[in-house]
Amino acid sequence: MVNLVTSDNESFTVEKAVASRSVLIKNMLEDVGESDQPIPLPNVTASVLKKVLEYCDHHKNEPMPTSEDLAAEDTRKRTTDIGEWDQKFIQVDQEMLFEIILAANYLDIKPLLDVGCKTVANMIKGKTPEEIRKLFNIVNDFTPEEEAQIKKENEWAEDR
Amino acid sequence: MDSDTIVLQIIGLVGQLTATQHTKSPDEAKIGVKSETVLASPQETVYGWRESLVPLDQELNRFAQARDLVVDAIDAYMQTATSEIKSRRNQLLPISRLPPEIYSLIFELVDRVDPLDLSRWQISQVSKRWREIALNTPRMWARIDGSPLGLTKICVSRSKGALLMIDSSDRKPYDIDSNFDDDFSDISSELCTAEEMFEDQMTALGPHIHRWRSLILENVRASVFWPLLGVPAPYLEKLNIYLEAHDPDEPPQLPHDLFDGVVPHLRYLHLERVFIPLTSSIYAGLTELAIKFVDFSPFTTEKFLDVLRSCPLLESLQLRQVHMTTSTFKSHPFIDLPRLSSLSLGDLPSRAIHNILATICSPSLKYLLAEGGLDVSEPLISAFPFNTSANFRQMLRALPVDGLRFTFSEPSPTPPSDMHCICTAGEASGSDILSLRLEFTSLPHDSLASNLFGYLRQNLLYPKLRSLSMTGLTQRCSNTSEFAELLGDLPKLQHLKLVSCEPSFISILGATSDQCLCPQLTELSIYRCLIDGESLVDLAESRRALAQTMGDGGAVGLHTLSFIGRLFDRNTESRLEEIIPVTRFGGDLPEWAFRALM
Repeated sequence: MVNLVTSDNESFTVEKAVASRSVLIKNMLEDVGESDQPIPLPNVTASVLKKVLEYCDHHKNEPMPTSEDLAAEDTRKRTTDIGEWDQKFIQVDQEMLFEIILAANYLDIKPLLDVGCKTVANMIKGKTPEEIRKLFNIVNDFTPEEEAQIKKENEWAEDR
Repeated sequence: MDSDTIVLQIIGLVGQLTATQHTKSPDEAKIGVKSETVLASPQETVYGWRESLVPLDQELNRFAQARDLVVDAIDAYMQTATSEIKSRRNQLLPISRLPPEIYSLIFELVDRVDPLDLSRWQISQVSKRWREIALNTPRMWARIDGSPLGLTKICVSRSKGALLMIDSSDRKPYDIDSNFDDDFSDISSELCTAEEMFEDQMTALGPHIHRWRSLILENVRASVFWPLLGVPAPYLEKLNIYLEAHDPDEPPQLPHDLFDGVVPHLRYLHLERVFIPLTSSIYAGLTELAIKFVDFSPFTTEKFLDVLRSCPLLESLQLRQVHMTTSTFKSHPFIDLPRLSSLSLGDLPSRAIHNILATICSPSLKYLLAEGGLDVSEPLISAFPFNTSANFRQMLRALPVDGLRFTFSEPSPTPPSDMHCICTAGEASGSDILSLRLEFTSLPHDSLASNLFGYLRQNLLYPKLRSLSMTGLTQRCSNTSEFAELLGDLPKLQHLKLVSCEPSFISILGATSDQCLCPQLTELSIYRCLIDGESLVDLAESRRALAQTMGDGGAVGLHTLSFIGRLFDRNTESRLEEIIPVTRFGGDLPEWAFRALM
């Protein structure tokens, strides 16, 4: 078992197979060897780690993606398809979604990072800039001059 | 202009204005002197005052200009400040916690799945931060399509060092296999447009060939693209060049090979109506090769086999209407293609099919299509090397087949000059049918038909075959004893479909106490066969009786009968319904309905 301590000082004891879905933790465990020392995760809060561990537990028996897999995926045309379980898992509010992405990035859990990014990509897909702004509550911060320049470029793209 | 600069400018302008107010101009001084010393007539006074107002007007204009400058500066300051406030507000949003590299990942994902190619432009208009990240995500701009030169230049510039994927085609994936009989009357104008566009685009893309990853080129003839593609393309992985119509154009006589022969990463090559000599280096090291409608007559099949030899990792080979000079088969050293899973040889001369099938060794084959013309004097083995190549036999046996389908078509009133045979096997992409199909579009002549089943029995060996379909089986192409021998080798057959077959080929399915062909047969489909009802009742009855005698584990009776053709009388139908649990009877159908059913 592995003991993980979050930034808000909460402790999680999980199976090694679950914790090792994170390449960061896996490498730490390999470096430290057998030890009862808790592993601090200063960039992850308890609520986020709980979700991340839920994901890791569900996928604990799947083979870890190899560097060849990642290279092949890079070459292939990637899709934004997400598995059924993963889709349900990632149905969270925006704040939690971005926290999960950040945690997956920090903990180096490539498949979870993929699920998170694909979810955001699917949210953006097919939307106009105004719709995207509305979706994420973003304010248009371009000056009128910048906007005029961008508009010109955009007209060009749309007139193709 | 930053806000501090604007403030300084405003202070400067206000200072200038104040200074002007306190300084008496020489004109003003003059007016003062004049008014004190000269007493003029009223007209002169008015005139004098008008004149004296000119400098004041000028002064006022200067004030107005200065005021406008100040207002503009304040506006600019306000805009910049507002924009800055908005940017800072955006920084507080949950999404803004994501680092730029994550944004880049997301943007690339959106861009890759967008069929309209607007995403990258739209993403770059959301906010300053999104734009900055988008403009610094080179791979997002690496996809170059048939855009005007201006946009292409923008994309090339923003893609920085990323590998470029160039697609100049308008053709959608679903009509890649276009019908070559279409009317191409407008093709010459299409060619000109496409070629002009390509030449235009090459002014931006040409200097970057060293970072091309893929090129899809539509309707650009070799005489146009060849001279422009003369430098190495060390990262090119995919090349797809096609013309919409037949074109006699051949590469110009240039000293260099395409891409100067340097394409070490080229794995995927599709050529349609585009002749690139088989001696070119672009054919080496491929994993996918598709060539359609190309006349390679200057080259022999042996030269093409050399191409295959240079692609030991080939996974898919597709040839359609490709002409090569083919002599009679000579034994060649085998070509090991251990990864070849899909092989499609469409509309090739029988000898070309034969030479390829007899020479390659592909134990992983999952799909095979061989379709070609046979001369009237040619036997089946002219195309299929059943008796000459152990490799071919092994390949056929290893194919994942659980159904066989043979079609012997009716002789046409005016026999064609050559015969056509089609053989497909395995799982075609997008289809879940797993079968081997042999189809002859004109009735096989003696040399072809004789021993056909013999070849199949000796070579195919599918003892686990579950489904068999025969069309047009008559005494002219085989005899009942040969067919019975074939069925004798298929003990696991569960479904037999007989279409337009002579009744004698159906009757052999009747069981006796010591013999029953295909004992596991449960489903029998008989379409357009002139069998009489009484014979069919006898057949079904004999199989049921044997099944009852042998009990579980032995023969099984028929469970389903589908019959289309001349209807039986009601009494016969009732008797068949009594013996067979599921029966479907249909009268003869119109041709279109029958074909739909098939």
